[in-house]
Amino acid sequence: MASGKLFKPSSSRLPRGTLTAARLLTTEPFALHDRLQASIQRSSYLRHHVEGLRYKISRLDEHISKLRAAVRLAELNTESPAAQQVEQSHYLVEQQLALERRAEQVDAVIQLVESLRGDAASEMTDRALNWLSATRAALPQQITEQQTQIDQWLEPVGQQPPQMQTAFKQYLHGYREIATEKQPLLRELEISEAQLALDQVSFAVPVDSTQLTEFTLDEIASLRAGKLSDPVRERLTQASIEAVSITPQPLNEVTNLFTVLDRQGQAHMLAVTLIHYVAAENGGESDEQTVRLLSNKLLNSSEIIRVVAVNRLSLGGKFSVYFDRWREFLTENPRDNTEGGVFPAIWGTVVMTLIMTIAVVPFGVMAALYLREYTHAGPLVSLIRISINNLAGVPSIVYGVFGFSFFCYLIGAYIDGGPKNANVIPLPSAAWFASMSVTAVVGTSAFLLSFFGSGPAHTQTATKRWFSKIALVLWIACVAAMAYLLLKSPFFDGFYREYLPNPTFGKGGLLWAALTLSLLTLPVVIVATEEALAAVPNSLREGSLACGASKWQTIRRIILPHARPGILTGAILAMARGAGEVAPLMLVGALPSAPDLPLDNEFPFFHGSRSFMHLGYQIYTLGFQSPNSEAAKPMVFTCTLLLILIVAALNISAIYLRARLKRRFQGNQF
Amino acid sequence: MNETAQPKTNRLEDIAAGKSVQPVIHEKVFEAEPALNIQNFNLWYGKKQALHDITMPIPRGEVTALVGPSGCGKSTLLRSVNRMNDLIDGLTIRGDIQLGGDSIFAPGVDVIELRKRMGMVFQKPNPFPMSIFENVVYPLRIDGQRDKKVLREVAEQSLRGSALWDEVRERMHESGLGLSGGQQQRLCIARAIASDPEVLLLDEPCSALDPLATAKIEDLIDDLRGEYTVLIVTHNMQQAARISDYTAFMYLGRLIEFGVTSQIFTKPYLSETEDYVTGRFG
Repeated sequence: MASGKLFKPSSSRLPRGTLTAARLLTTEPFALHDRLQASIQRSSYLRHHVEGLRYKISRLDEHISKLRAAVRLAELNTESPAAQQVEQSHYLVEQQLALERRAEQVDAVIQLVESLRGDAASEMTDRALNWLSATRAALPQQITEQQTQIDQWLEPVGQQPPQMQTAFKQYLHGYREIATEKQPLLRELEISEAQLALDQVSFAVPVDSTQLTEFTLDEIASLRAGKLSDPVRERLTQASIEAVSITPQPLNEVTNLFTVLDRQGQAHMLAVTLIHYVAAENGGESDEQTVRLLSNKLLNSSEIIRVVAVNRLSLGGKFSVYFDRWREFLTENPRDNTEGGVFPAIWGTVVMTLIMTIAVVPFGVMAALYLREYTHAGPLVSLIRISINNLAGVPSIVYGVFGFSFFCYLIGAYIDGGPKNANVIPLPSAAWFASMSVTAVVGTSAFLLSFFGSGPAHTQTATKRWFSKIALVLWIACVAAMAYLLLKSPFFDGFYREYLPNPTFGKGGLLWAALTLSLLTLPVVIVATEEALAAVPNSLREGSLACGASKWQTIRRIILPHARPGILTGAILAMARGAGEVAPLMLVGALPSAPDLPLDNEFPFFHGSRSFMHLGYQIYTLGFQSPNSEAAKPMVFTCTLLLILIVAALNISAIYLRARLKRRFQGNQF
Repeated sequence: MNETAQPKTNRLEDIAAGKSVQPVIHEKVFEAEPALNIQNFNLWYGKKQALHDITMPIPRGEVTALVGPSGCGKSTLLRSVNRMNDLIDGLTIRGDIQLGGDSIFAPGVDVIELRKRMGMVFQKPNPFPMSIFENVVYPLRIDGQRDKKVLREVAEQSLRGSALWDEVRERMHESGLGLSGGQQQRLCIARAIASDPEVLLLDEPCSALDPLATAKIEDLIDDLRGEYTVLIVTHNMQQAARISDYTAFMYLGRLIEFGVTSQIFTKPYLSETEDYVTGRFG
């Protein structure tokens, strides 16, 4: 957070006799504070307005890109290039729109001139009117010409396949509508931006808090005595000084300090009284002029984030400043790199962790159920256990590399544009069909073998055991072959090929990050669930089975409810582990700045392919990637605190949950 | 059948030495109509044989007690009857057990259906971590019974049958784990009879209970006589004498003597049985 002292020094150090002078000096400047506040309000309103406009315009642009993607898809489907027509039609439609706008303008001018003519008709106005009406009369002609030109452009399109034609017509129609809609927005945006740029506060004295120099006691004494010593005057009045260095401590006894925070995170201190003081010294020049003289730069009011009248803050005021800064930190978007809030990072962390949990818990629980309830000790189980332990020990960056290469470059690219896009050479269709039928045969025989090989333990014979072993091998082979054939399919061209070469899923994104982390946290869930399952008394299993329950009924009705506290604990521990993990995210989708939230109120609400921000990654970028790491320091520490708090809260809730649910199974009350 | 004269040597020592010994089964046993028929039943845990050639008809509607020192295979036999042993790895069996004339090991037999025809109560009370009501109706729940009226009726009937109704009628929806040990065991019996089984298998049901609770359970078993065929494993000779109609004495996986309880406890054919039931051995 920004530097800047918010504390009022004790007035006890103020010598007698200076109070009157101070009061005299302080009455008027507070008007400045109000002016500042007003201008901040105005500019923040304007800024929100501009942001809203930009957002609306970006939505419209998105519509256009969707329409263009539809044309591109039609182009891909019909194999007839249309890009040139698209570009040309832009131009033509825009020209037509400009002509229509011009007609409106001319109409307005004609009306104006006619209303003026009523008073004093002259040759000039008549001539002007004549010219205007001639222009106006020519315009419809031009518009029609434009239309014919568009039609001409469309003519070759008419020979295109019907899919192309519809896509193209929809594009033209949609583009026209959107452009019409966009026009007033753009104009308004221009005006608002100009207003923002013009609204400047011209009385700021920038103080770089890192360059504070101290005033000697003598100098302060001379200030108090109402005299400015030459060196001080020199320092204060230098028009070109980079920063007027004021030690706040002694000076704010005679001045009113405002801390003003700008969007770059620089703290400006407004030594208002001092400025007046100097103004008086200079022979009563007006405020503005003196201030201009003093200040080395103008501050745009839209740049100002907040103004605090430090010397006027009550205790409540201090708290409100304090909590307002926390609110800002937790609920607002970041400004630049080192300032503002971290809301998108918090949101990204939460959403990613939730998706990760949703992905990891079913898999972990299924794996644990298999290991604990369904299988018996053997080489396969040992292998699985060793693999799980190994997974737990793999450095997290390795998961990142795996996620990046597997999820982004293989699965993601495959989803985007089919096997070719994922650098997989698809099989020729004959070979593909042949392998598919072989796989089908393998699958069927695996099914039959496992059917013949199944049965209760006492009916097992050597042949049956062999049957089930072969069936298992065949099942694995069948699943592997299916995956391979799916990957090598010559009939799949991807779901997002119209956006290529821009990747949709073929890059880092929320979904891939969550899945990568779910791999990372899988061992945690498996181990926790296994322990929970092991803690279910065997007598309960036997009791349920003796009642005639099947294995699955026993698991669902007795074992899983009993193991739920342990499973939940495992899930929360996995969440804590995943929320704090950064290294893999650097590779699979976290960005230092991603203003679009991954989960919002826009259809389809969840945007798995979007990049996102993450608290842990935010700490890394703030601390080590920002240009001004010194300024980012407070932000780094606050983010760290927040992350620790989140992880601690998750862990504490795990402990609480475990204790609560345990009580439930031991006590006699539900 | 095997009404041989008293052997010269001690049978128990012979068995310990690994010799095969013919069991002595009283004729009266064969007069009753059997509900369960165990025929030449052998069972191995891996390579170790746990049951040797057991042949035992269990009379219908009567209480049959299995006695014998620890590790003699009573529980294994009991658990073979409802095929709970299926869960154990490396189990091999030979011979047959018939329920109502049908082999329980026949290929088409559904183990789940089979277990529904037999209620089982374990040594340690094992109520599920649910309400008393849900505990009792659990066998119906897994059958997919949803009708509240039916469930309530069955719960009441079973709890009355296990003499627990008056104690828990006011707190049917409290956890079953909040009951005392004896109440829990009777709850388990209620659960076992809720699906209206033909046979009730009790595996030392009173070993974890105090004398008062034991007395209640014994009264209950006495009440269940006639309605259910009861097969009970017990270490308590007095209990076997008090509640059972037939008693089988087992030793190291073999059946030694099987007969009417009064006879086993007063005038057994074998001196070894007499030694055991009077406490001179084991």
